[in-house]
This record gives sequence, structure tokens and C-alpha cells, in this order.
Amino acid sequence: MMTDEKKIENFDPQAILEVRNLRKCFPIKKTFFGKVTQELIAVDDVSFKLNAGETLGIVGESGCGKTTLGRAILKLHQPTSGRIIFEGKDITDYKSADMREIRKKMQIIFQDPYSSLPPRSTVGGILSEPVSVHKIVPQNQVKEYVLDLMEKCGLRDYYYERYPHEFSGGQRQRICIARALSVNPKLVICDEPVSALDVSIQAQIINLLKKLQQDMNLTYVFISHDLSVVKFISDKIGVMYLGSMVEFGSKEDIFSNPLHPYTQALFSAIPQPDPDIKMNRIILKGDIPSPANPPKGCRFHTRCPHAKDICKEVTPEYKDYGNGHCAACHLLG
Amino acid sequence: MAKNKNYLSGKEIRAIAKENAKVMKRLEAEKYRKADESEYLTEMRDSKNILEIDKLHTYFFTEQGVVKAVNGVSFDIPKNATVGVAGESGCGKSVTSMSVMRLLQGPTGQIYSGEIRFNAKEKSGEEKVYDIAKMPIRDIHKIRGNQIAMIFQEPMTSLNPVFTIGQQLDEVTFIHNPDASKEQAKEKSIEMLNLVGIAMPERVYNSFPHELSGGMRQRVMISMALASDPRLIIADEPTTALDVTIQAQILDLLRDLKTKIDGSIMLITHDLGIIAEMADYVVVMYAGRVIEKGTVDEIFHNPMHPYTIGLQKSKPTLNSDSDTLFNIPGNVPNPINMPDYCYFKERCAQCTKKCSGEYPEMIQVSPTHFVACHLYDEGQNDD
Repeated sequence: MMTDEKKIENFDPQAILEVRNLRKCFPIKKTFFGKVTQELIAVDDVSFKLNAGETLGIVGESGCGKTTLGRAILKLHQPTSGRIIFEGKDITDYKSADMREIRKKMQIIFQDPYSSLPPRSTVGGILSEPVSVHKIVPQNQVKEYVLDLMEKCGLRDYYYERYPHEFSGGQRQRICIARALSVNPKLVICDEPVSALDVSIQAQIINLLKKLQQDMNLTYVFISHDLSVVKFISDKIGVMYLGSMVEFGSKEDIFSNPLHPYTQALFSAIPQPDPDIKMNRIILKGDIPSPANPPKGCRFHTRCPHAKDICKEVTPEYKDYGNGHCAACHLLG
Repeated sequence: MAKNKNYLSGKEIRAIAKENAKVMKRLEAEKYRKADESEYLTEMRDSKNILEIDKLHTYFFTEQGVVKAVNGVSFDIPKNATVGVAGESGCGKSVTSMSVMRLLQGPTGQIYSGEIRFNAKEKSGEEKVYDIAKMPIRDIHKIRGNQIAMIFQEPMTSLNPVFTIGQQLDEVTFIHNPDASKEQAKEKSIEMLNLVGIAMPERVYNSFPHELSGGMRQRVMISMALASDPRLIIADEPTTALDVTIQAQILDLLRDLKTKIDGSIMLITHDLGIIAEMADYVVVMYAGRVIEKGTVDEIFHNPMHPYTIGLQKSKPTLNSDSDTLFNIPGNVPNPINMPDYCYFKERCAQCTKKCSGEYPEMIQVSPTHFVACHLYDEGQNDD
């Protein structure tokens, strides 16, 4: 463990995870000598707090940086700047040896259950490995522990000897969930866990995630592009657009009173499975600009139906509009 | 331990292959035969329809056995209507559309039996009814891409990366109208690009697919489908690869175009929200069969099959507030060696004794509403 633990200012003891001004850039052009001449800003100045036992839903379109944010929190990507505070410790500058202890407490579930399981290990092997490596239980109790875990995740005990290719997508995602939970984590990042699955299987997995959260008191960061799923599972919601958080707040606030024009457009764009609902649809014009060359000022101004002159010049400030409901837009005054 | 059904012995595989080869050879020969037009001309059951699919069986002859991907599917597409085909992956909705286009990958994929009647309009203006399932492949160009056009799911992979958009669009005009000059073709292509709402058609005409975004590519695909004035457009998951805001744009465009081109749309999707918004009629498929069909109001306000009900309940919506989602237990059955009884039996909560018996027939509930379930066998309408 690090000995020279830095004192963290304005620390909120309730929050399990706090992200402050997180920024992640990827170099896209380098000179011959390795100097970076052009950067892609994948995540730009994102801040939020998350309390234990809560679920934060992150929504946004492809390329908005939601996956990069999730990976940066786990430090699978080293953030360019900003702070990540997990359980009162600033883990931003931890070396990989120190991270090993922390990884026990934060885990990730990936999007594609077909490519995230090793094809040559049995389910038992996949689930036992993290338990043995992190010495969660004594070696002679590992199998018992794993079987117990499999039961919790809705996997039958005879699956222990089987290989991943014998399972369907939903079952594989259950194995991925069991693997993530095998080390008793506090925080689980779910990176689009249900988007590769069919609707009826999706519901099974979402219900399982919800049940496990109650049983094991987990905190989720739930990344998804599907707003209806995010609404169902989250307590807080963050909306991202081109790398920055445009709106953040509790589920009730965001859904009853969306402040940012992008959030409003996003909500109105979802097709509702009821032919009677004729929504007043806001159809955005144009495409998402390239994140390598984002527009000046407010990043949304190229598609915003209410854009003013100031939007093209000045980047709007990310402000709190009461009750932790934050947004970044000039129109809100 | 009982014999593992997932593994076949070499002997069994050889037996299956021998059996398959016989059937495939016969069907392939039929596909490549020369035939007179009179052989595949038929009559429509109802002249209001543009397409009638009647007891279609499309099989894949694999080494593990015969996969009945489409197993007796029947539905109609009326003129100027949008028919939504809903179902989970592997339920045969894409294979149905591929059968209509005769794009099945041979020799494994074959239309085994059934009729697909299509009401084609010749250039001279007279209407002819073709049975697509019986047409030899060399005559299919009369219809494919010309009278029926298709929009594919992946706009990223369905455009040719080495030709410009303009070259690919002009090709459509040249194939269906060989006498056209280059200028005419270009004019037509630019008109088409304009129609689908592309802001700078001249620039897009000269650019390569990789220079365009996903939404733009899908627009190009749609314009390509429209270039030959089709009577029927098959849209196979047209928005699945796109973001929500772009999806809203494309759906808006499709709705707009339907009125402009005066044709029908067969919309294949797994998203019930899109169906509710776009379709007039809905066909719900499960494991290769149609389990329920009806108008959009009937399916969404009075769903009858337990699967349709479950599917609607298991999708979280923005307007609902509940703690747990309804979920259908279990998985879609293995497509090889399907049971004789109702395919949904293992996952159904309302099973009766009858369900172990034969596969349920289609029962008519109202003039437009059909359901295949034993729950409604006798005393229709009094559930």
C-alpha cells in the first residue's frame, strides 16, 4: 500500500466513488520524434459522486466516451488528468501492484459475452481463478464457494465442467457476472451488459443484476445506450455527449425535468411500444461531429435546435441547478 | 449418463450428409432450371395484396441436421401498408425476407416448399403475379432489386468500399434501364440522394463509403433501394446499427418515403417500439413460425399469445414504474430437432394438457387477428 497517502480536500465520506475533472486523451498523430501533435479527447472534464448501494446510469450515443469513462474509473486506461477517489483513497496515481488490492473491490462486466470468456477454460476454471488469485476463501473451499456463487447467478451446478461455447448469450453473460462477483466487489462497472442479448433474455439479466445488488449491496456504474433500460435500473443518470457530461442528476429529476436540449431530444427519439403514444418528436439534424475535431464552444451547438450565437463561441459551464441536478447549457442562464 | 445430444458420431454425420445431398441436389437443379414464364405465373388470393407468403418452408441442410429456419410461415402484405415482422434473433424473420429476395446461401439454404406470390407491375403497366418460390434463379432479376428492394442491417458492410457512392448508385440505373446515358443516370442518382435528405448530394456522389457516417450510409442504402421505383421495400433491421437520434431520423425518412413512392414496406426488427410506431400490421414470429398476427392495435392492446404478452412486458419503457421486469424463463429452443408440440411450451406459464399434443393451428380471433395457441382453441374470444 502507498504510505504517503495524500489528504483529499472536500472529501464526502458517504461517497464510494468520486470522479473529479477526469480527462482522457488518446494521441492520434505523432511527429517522427514521438511528440503528440493531435489528440482525441475521449472524456473531457467529467465529475460526479456516487454513494454506496446506488446505481449510476451513463447514457450517450456511440463515440461519446462512456466506455472510456468506465475503463478510466477502473484504471484500465490511465487518466490524462483529474482524480478518481475510491472509498476515500485517491487511486489515480496507484501503481499496478497497488491496484491489485483495489481491483478486488472494483470489477467490470463487458458488453460482448461471446468474446470475453476464455474458450479453453471450463466454467469452474473461469470462476475459480479470481477466487484463488485473490485468496478470497481457503484453497480447499474454493469449489464449494464457486458452486454457491453459480447458484446465486442462476447457473446450474453441472455447468461447472462445461466450456463457454456450449452456452447461449444469456448464460454466458451470467458467467461473466458470476466472474465479476466472485471476488466480492463493492463497485461493478457494467459496460452495456445487455445490448448483445434478446429482449426476453435482457429482462432476465437485468432482474438478476438488480437482485444481486440488493443481496450483496453492490454499487453499479451502468453504461448503456438504451435509455429505457437505464431508467429501469438507475438511481442517478449521467448523459454524455462528445466526451463531456451534459447533464447529471437523480433519475426522477432527469426524466421529469430534462434541462439540456440534447437530453430532451434523446428522450423523444426512443420509439415507444404503444401505438397510441404519438410523441412530439424532436428530430436532431445532422450527425455527431467527429470527436477528433469537436466543434468550438458548446459541442452540441451544431445540432441544437435552440442554438444562439454565444453557444458557438463559449463553452458552457457545468452548473448545479438544485438538488444535485447539473447541466451544461447557456440557455439555462 | 444419457447420450449427449450435442455431439454426433461420424457415422451419424455421414448419414445426415448423404440424406441432405440428395435433397439439396434436387432443389439446386430446380433452382437453376430453364423455365417458361407460364410455369410460375399464378393468381393472388386477394388483389389488394402486393405479397402473399403461403406456408413457406425454408430449410438449412447442415451437417448436424436440418434447421427449419422458416417452418410454415404465412402472411400477407397489403398495398401501401407497412408490415412489421417482430421476433428475437434466430426466429427466422431475416430468413423469410431472404427467401422473398431469393438470396439464400445455396446449396445449404433452400426454399423447401410453399408459395410466395408477388404482384409485379411490368413497364407496360400490366400486372402479373409471379410465384417467387418457383421462379428459376435466372429469371429472378425481373423482380429482385427492381420491383422488390432491400435495405440491409449493416450500412457499414453493404456498400462496396472501392467504388464511389455515385458509381454504385448509377449501376442500379444501368442494370434496370440499360439504355440510359451516363448523364441521365447521374441525374437520377442525385435526385435519389436528394429524396433521402442528403444535404450536399453532389459531394456525396463523388465520395467513398468510408467518408460517410453510419446514418449517411444508411441513407445512401435507402436511396439505392429507391432508385428503381420498387413496389415493395424490405427493410431488414434498418436502424439496429445506428444511434437513437440517427434512428429517429431514418424512421422519419422511411415514413415520409412510403407516402412519396406509393409502395409497401416490410419492416423487420426486434424492437417493438419501432413496430408500434411504424407498422400497420404486425407479424410476431417465434422459432420459425408465426405465432400471432394482426393490426398494430390488436397486437399491442389485445395481445393473445403468451409469448407476445411476455415480450411486451419484458421491455422496460420510459412510462412504466415497476421494480422488477417480467421475464420469460428459459431460452429459445435448439433449431435442430424441434419438438412436435408448441415450441413455446417449456417457457410458457399458462400451459394446459393440450400443449403436449400437436402444434396449435392458427386460430382466427377477428377478421385480421390470428393466433397460434391452444388457449383459444374453442369458444374463441372468451379467454
